[in-house]
Amino acid sequence: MESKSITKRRWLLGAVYTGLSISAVTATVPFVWMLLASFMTRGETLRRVFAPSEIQWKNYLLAWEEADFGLYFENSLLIAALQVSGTLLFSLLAAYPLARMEFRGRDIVFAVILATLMIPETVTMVPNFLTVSWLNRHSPFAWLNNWPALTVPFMGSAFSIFLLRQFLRGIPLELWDAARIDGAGHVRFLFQIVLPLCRAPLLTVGMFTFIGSWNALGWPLLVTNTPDWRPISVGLLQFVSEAGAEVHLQMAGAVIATIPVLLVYFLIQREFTEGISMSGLKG
Amino acid sequence: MNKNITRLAIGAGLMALTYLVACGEAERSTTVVVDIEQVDPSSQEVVFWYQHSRQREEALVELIEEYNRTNVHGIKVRGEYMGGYDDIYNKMSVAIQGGTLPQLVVAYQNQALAYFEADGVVDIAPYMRSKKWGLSAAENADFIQAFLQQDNNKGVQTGFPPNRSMEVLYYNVDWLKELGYARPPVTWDEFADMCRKAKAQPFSKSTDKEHSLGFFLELDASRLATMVFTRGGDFMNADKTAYTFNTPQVRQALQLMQDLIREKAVDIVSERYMDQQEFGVGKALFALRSTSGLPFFKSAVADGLDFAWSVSAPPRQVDDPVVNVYGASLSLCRTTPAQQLATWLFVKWFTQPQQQARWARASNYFPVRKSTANELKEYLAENPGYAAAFKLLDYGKSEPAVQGYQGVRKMIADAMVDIAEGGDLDDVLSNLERQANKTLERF
Repeated sequence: MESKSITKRRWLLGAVYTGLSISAVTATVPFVWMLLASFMTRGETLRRVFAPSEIQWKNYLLAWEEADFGLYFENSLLIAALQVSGTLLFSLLAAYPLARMEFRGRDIVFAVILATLMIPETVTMVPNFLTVSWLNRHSPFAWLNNWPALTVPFMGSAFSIFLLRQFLRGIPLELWDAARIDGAGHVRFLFQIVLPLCRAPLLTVGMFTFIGSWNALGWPLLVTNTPDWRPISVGLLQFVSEAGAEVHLQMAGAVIATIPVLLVYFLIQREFTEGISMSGLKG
Repeated sequence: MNKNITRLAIGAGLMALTYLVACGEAERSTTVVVDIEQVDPSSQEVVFWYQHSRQREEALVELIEEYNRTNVHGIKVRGEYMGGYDDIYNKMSVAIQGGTLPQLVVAYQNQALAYFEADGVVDIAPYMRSKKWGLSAAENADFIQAFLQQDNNKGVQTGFPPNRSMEVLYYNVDWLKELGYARPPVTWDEFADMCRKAKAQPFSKSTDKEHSLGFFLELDASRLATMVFTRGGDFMNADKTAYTFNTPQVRQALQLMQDLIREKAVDIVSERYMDQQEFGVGKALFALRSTSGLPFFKSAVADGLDFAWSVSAPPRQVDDPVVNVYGASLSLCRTTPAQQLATWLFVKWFTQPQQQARWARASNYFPVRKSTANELKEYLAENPGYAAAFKLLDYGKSEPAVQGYQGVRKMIADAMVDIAEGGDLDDVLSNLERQANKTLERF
C-alpha cells in the first residue's frame, strides 16, 4: 500500500516536472532564437535556419553603430536611473501614510489611486502630453526633448504605491510604539526603521520600474524630437521599415537591449520573488 | 457597504473625468487670408518629421544639408525621425491639440485629410499656383498628374508627393522556366495555373520541397486593391461618395483566392514579411509587394538561393497594365505664413528632377517628375527590376484618399480573413460595404 502511494507520488512528480520543463523550454526558445539570429546573416534569417553556419560578430558592431546604440543605451540607463529613484522615493512617501497613518478619507484616497490602474495608458497620453507641453512653455527649464518629460510623469506609480502599502501594513505596531517611546516621529520611523526592512519590496518596485522604463517606446517618441534623449527602444525601431526588416541586426540590437534587464534581474531575483509574495500576504 | 459604494462611485467618476479631458476638442483657429506673394520666407526654420531611418535617412539628411547650404533665402531645414507612419500620426494628433507642430510632415492621404479637418495642415494649392513662388506651367506638366491628384480632395491639396511606390508582381524566373513558362503571367487565369503547377512541382533549388506553392497572400487592403484595379474595378464609386465592394471585380478577385487557398496553391501570410522570406527561399513562385521592397528581395534572394528573378505588372483582366500606386506625401503644417512658404520652397526644391534622381537612387522610391528619367539612365541600366517597374508609372491607380479609409482598410483585411476561411462572398462583401459606408457618414 505504502509503495503504491510512493510510486503514485513519483509519477505525479514526474508529470509535474515534465510539464514545468516543457513550459521552461517554451519560454526560453524565443530568447535562444533571438541570440542565434543575432549571429546569422540576413539570408540565414530568411531561410530560417536553426543556427548560423558562421558567427557574425559584426552584426553587433553594425547594430551599435548604425542605430546610434551608444547614445540610446546611455540615455536609457540615465532615464531608468532617474525614473527608478523618483518612483521609489515618491511611492514610498505615498504608501507610508496610506499604510501607517490614520486620517479622514485615507481609504478613499487609496481606492482612487487603485482605480487609476484601470485607465489604459493611451487614454492618459494626450492629457499628459498637454501638461508636459504647458510645463515646457512655462517652466525655467525644458521639459520636451529633455529628461523631465521622460521621467517625471512616471514617478507616481499606482502599482508601486499599492505594493509598498501592502508590505508596510505588515510592519508590527510594536515597532512604531517602540520608536515613539524613543521620540521618533513618522519621518524618522520611516527612514531609520522601516526603510531597512523594505529591501525586498523596494527592489521589486525598482525592478518593475526599470523594465517599464527600459521598454518604453510610445511616450519617448511623443516627447522627443531628436536622438539626444531617445531610449534604446527607438534604436530597435529603426531596423524595421515599411518594406522589410533586417532581422539579424534587429536581434543583435535586441540582445544588447536585453542584457541590462537580465543582469538586474539576476542580481535581485531572490528579493524580487520575496517582494511579490509579501505583497499578497496582508490586505 | 456604503463605504464601498462611495469608493466605487469616486473611482468611476474619476475615470469618466479622465475620458472627458482626454477627448476634449481642440479649438479651431480662425483662418487669416494672407497674400503669399508678399510673404518673406527668409531665415525661417523648417522642422521636418519623417519615418526614414538608417541609409534612407542619411541620404535625406545629405539633401537637407545641401538645401540649407545653397538656398538663397537662408532657410534652415531640420529633419527629425519620428518612428513609423502610425507613430507620426499619433504624434501629430497629439501635437495638433498641444500646439507644437512641425512645419513639414510625412502623411498618407487619409491622415493628411484628418489633419486638415483638425486645422493642422494647410491647402498647398495656393502655393503651387503662386506667380512668384509656385510651379510654372512646364513644371506642373512635368509632374505625373495621377500622383498630384491623389492628394487633392475636392480642390484642396492636402499633401504634395515627394516620391511614390507601386505594387508589382515579383516572380522567380528560374522556377517559371522549370514549369515550362518563358514569361510571367499576364492574366489572372494564367497566374492561377502557374500557382497550381508550382504547388505540384517544387523549385529545384528549394531546400524544403514539401512546402511549395504559388503565392502567399497578405491579408491587406492594398493587395486586394491591386487585384480589383487590374480587373477594371475600384473600391469607390466614380464621385467618391460611396464604397463599392459588392462588385464583380471584387468578387472575382476574392473567389479566385478562395479557390486557390482551398487547392493549397496559395496560402495566407501569417507573419510580417513572410511572403518575402518564402519567395527568397524558393517556396513561393510569386510575391505581390511594393517596389520599395526591391532591395529587400534582392538581398533575400542573393543571401538565399541566388536564383534569377524579376518584377512585372500584376496580372490583369483589362487591356493595359494597371498598378496600385501609393506612398505618403508631404503636408505643410499650419504655422506662420513665413514658415509655411519656406516649407513650400523646400518641398518645391526637393521635387526638382536632380534631387528626385538622387532620392530615387538612395531610397528606391519612384520619382514624381517625368523628366527625372533623364537623370536616372545609368541607375535604370544597373537595376533591371527597378527599370521594369519604372515603365509602369503611367499606369498608376490609387486607393481611396478619403477620411476614415484607414479604418476601412482594417475592415477589408478582416473580410479577407473571412473569405480565406471559406466565408460566403455575398454575406461578407455586403457587410463590408455597409460597414465601410457608415464611416463616410461620420465625416
